[in-house]
Amino acid sequence: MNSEEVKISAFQLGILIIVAVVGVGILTLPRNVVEIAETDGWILILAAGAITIGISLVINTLANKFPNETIIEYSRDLVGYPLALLIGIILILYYVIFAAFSVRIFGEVLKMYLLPKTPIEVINITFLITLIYLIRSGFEGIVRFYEIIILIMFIPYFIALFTGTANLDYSNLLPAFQTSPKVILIGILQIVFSFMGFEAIFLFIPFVSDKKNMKKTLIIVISIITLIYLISTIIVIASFGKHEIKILIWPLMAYIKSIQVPGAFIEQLEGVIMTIWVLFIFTTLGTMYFSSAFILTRLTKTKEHKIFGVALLPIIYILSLQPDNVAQIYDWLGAFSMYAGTLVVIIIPILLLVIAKIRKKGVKSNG
Amino acid sequence: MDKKKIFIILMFVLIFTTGCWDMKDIEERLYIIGITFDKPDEEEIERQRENLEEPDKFTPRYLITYLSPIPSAQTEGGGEEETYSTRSITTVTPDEGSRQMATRIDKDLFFGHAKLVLFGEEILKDKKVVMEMLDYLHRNQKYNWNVLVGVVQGNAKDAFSINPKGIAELVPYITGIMQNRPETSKVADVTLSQLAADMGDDGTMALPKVIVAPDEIKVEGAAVIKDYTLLDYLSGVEGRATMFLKGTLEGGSVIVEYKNELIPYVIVNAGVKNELKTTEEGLQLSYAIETEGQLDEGIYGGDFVTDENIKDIEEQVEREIVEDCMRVIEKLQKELRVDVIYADSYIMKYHPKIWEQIEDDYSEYFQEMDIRVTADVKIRGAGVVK
Amino acid sequence: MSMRIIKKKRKSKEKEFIPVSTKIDENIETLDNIFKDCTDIVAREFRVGVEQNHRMYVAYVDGLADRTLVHDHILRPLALEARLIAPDPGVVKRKLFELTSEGTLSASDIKEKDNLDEAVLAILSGDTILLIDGVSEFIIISTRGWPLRGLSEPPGETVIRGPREGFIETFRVNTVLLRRKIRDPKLKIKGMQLGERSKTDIGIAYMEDIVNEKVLKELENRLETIDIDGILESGYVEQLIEDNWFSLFPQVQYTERPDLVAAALLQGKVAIIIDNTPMTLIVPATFNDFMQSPEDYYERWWIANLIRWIRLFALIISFTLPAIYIAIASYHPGIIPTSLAIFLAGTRETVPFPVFVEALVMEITFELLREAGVRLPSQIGATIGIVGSLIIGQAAVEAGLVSPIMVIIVALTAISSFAVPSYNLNISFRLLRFVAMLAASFLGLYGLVLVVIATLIHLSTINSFGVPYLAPIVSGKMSDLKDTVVKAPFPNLKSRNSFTGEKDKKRLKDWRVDKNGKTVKVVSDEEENSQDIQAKEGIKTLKKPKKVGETKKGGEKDE
Repeated sequence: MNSEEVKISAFQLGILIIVAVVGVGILTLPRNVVEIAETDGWILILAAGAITIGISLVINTLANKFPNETIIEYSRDLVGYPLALLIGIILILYYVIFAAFSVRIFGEVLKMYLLPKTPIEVINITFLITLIYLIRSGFEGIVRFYEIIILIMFIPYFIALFTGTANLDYSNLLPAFQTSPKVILIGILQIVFSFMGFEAIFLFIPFVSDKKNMKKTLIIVISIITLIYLISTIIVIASFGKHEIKILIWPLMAYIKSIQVPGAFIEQLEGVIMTIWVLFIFTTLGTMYFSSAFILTRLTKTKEHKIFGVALLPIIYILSLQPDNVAQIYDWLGAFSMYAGTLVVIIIPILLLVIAKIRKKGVKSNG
Repeated sequence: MDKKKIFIILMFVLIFTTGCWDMKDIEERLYIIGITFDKPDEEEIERQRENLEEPDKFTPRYLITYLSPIPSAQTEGGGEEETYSTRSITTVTPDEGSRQMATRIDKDLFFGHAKLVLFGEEILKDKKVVMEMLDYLHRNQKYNWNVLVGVVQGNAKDAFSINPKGIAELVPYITGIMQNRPETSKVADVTLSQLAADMGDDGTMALPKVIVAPDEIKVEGAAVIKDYTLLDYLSGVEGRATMFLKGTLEGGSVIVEYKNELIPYVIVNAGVKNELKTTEEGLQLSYAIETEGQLDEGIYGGDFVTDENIKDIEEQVEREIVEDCMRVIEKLQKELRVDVIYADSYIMKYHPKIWEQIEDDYSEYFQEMDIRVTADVKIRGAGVVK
Repeated sequence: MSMRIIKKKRKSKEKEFIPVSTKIDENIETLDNIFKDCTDIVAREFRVGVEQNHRMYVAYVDGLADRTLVHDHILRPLALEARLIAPDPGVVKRKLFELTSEGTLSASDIKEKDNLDEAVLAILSGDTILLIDGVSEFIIISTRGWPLRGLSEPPGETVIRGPREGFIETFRVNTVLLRRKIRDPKLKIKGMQLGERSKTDIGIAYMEDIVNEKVLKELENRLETIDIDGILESGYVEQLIEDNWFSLFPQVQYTERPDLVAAALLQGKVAIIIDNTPMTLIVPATFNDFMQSPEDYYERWWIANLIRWIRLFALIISFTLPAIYIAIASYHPGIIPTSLAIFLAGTRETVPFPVFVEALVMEITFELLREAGVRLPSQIGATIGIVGSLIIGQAAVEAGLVSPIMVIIVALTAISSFAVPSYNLNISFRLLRFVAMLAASFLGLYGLVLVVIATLIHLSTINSFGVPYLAPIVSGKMSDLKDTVVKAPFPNLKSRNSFTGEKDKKRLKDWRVDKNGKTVKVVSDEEENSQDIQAKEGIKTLKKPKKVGETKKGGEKDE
């Protein structure tokens, strides 16, 4: 599958970004922001969104200089073969580890709320196997699947979210503007990692047929993600208040549990929401998994990515079972997003762009 | 290609045949819809201790009663048979309760449909125990967070042993009363999530008070919890005043005396606005209550519905409300020394700088605070008779 | 992932060339040999001419050829008029031949051939052949006329509003029905014959200037590769040309309704008409096509939309309802309201089986009943289906073998599955339902979600002749969404969807909506010229006179 064959539109890549990013992070996001900035947490989200837009535009500019190459190829051009190989390997590791974490967290939450006695291995394996089916259908198949699934994901999610807003106490969002800017600045960095996943564009922009729409699409799409995060966080904070949120591991789920659907035929909304949430994780993981297989095909210059898909499965599976308990998961995830995340998402693209500009490589863009 | 497919199919088959871990058919579960927590009486404790190996460490501290409906009785239309059953056990920790029940009944306890949690008086007097119960109710995901909570004056388990006439199901009866808030101002419904939010803060909360009579239940007033222990009760009127101050009143009435008649002012809606001023003596907090309502009862015969009368009645009601509130505030400040009227959260939200200063010694400040109450009553209608 | 199968074109058998000899006896002998033991072939020798010395031989199949035509328009003119021909062997023969082929015979469809092999095919198709002694060519006269079924509404595709014609088993009648709907010379019907022994007539119908060329080319290629002994029904063709034969989902649409075919052609699709079956194929076919019925376009906006949503909902129910029941009853009883849960528990107390066994048994029973109902004559079949299931269900409940809720669920599932317009899509989901039930019985709702995801992935990856199965939802262009879940009102359906109708996008010029999409009042010409309206719209009454020869610049742009 080379970039001349498969063409998708910018709109479709936009959808891919949305579903890839919104995944595991959204469950703990309200707690994360409140832990850092209390009731000013929403500022963090807005700022992180803005920064993400910035970085994505950096990547977009970089990609536009090399219209038909993914980052694997043009990094060879920019920094030489061995470093490019290193970048490739870092990226693969990044995606694989991220995928393993996501699978594990998914399993834990599923166990907690839906299937308490089922062993986590079973949950992980069945999930990964279904994922392989997705991977094997190739890039086009994945994108089409996402186009459909995005509606199925978000419409019930928002309906559920808004059903509970009747009894919210918005004053829980006060006091506002109490935190010092310094705390906010440091905090922003941590929250940017809830947006991880968008960097997949440096692999997929070559497949976009109408690249000129890419910039606009990126801005719109990341704003949408920011909005989704913002609304969810505000609603959850409003319903619990800053004290309570800090002690809930997954505040979003607690919120869902407290919703009473009026007159309803659904008693415990979380059963339904959990099933919707499977879709969220599925899309995020699908992108991660596919990206790693894809990078491998590019590095080894092979044609088919399917074999790599299957090869990576045991690795991801084993990795996902490494952390011993819930606390460890989040500890390691925190460290991982800090270091690996910064490296991949921020440092590498910016460095590459700078180098490209200095060495005047690549196609001159029109603006 | 084929080998891979076989492999995948094999995996699937393996997984699926090794068992359905969570499968528990619907009729094999026992649906708990109500729970009460009590302190077991001394004899019971002693008796249990005799059977224990390490009596000092593992003293039973809870008497938990589970109420569950009997499905087959329900579907066959009730009748004289009991439609629900209650079981009690004594246990060391709340969660152990469900496991101990497993030694006595064949079904799996399922809490997802629980609707009501009642605490007995006695058990709320021990802070550690209270915190343990809170933890139990929150930590696991078995409970739905819109479970209603209440405190029973006396032994909570009595609430489940009554047999009210003509009422088929006990728990909906109680929760229904609790949810009557729009009707009467003397009731409040507190859900588990509210419990978490409020208690989680500083251990202060007002919970609805439940009184058990031989064949019925009354929910009126509030139980004041401070620092995770039960302090005292507020009567119905006091409870109402608290709700006025909190701004959570949705209905109910205030009875005033007018021209030697007792006239109820029916509340349609009520809200409150707070304001904080700092003076030399300290903090001055004012609650400005605003309410709209109507008169469903008046003085028959003659001209009752005149502007003058209505304005007079309004003033009466205002006075009545303010008096009630001041009384309750006095009680809260001086006697109980607990803030259940959300003064602290107001200050925290709207005057954070001041809050930072008084946060640590808040209870002192609360006692000293000059709290003023004003009421503005608007009567909109008075029925169809002049 | 679409399968690109490189098939080889079938080697067409070399047509045998059997020359026509000038001696009629040899020809007769050849034909007799070929048609040995075929008693339905009528072959007759006769003489014409004043002196009755010119031999002719006529052959046709009794029943396939219209006997009246043969007698009145072939034999009689020959017998009568040819008498008047002056006898001169050489000239006569020539002239006779010309006479017969160019004037005498009042039949209009006449061909001259010189290959007896074709004579065989012609006879077997219902034509009559005429051999003339001394002439090395023979004449094929079209006399087809076999018993035809009357036109009636297809039983499987009834609509409340719409024409009540349906295709029948004769190729020519079907093409006629199609031509009546589209009277445009650009409607091309290309013919070919498939099947070594059946030599079935196949017609590829398309609108030349609208059709999607790629699909057409691909279709022709695939048809060329079909190498089979007989095409008895369109299903044979369908299975041999579809992209993914192993998929559960149909990728070729079939229909008995000419109006549906006409609509499809106008969208840029290609239809395949096949002799001997009323089922006409339409390609490319997407998921959406299977969910539509022609009524959607005949009824007004609101009704059409509502019914579309109901259908989609019905499809989802028929797929997932039993699985949801199993998941909730066995794994997550917390999801349903308390009273329902208690009720369910109560009714199930007497049932000896676990939930999924109960569900499986009931579903299988129902499938059995359904299949049985299909075989029985229509009156009884329908009754047995309904009554049978109800009675069995009721009896089972009373015996305490299943819970009443289960019966309701099975009934609901069955009814929903009938709401889907196409039978073939219906079947796919019937099968999937069992997979979903299995998954739900092992992993509860999570299992069900995985099956749904897997199905969606599969649907996303298959193509029908190059068009993604889930088009137009996945086309990446917002404009294509107009006709899927929500059908836009007519004024908005101006352009054809981008997958099939790229060539000629404009199809509807609706004056009610101007170029910006705003609704405009439609006024007639007289009104338009009247003063009031012009004054309102500020149009100057004076129009610039047109110079002779100046042509108006292109029309208004419709988009």
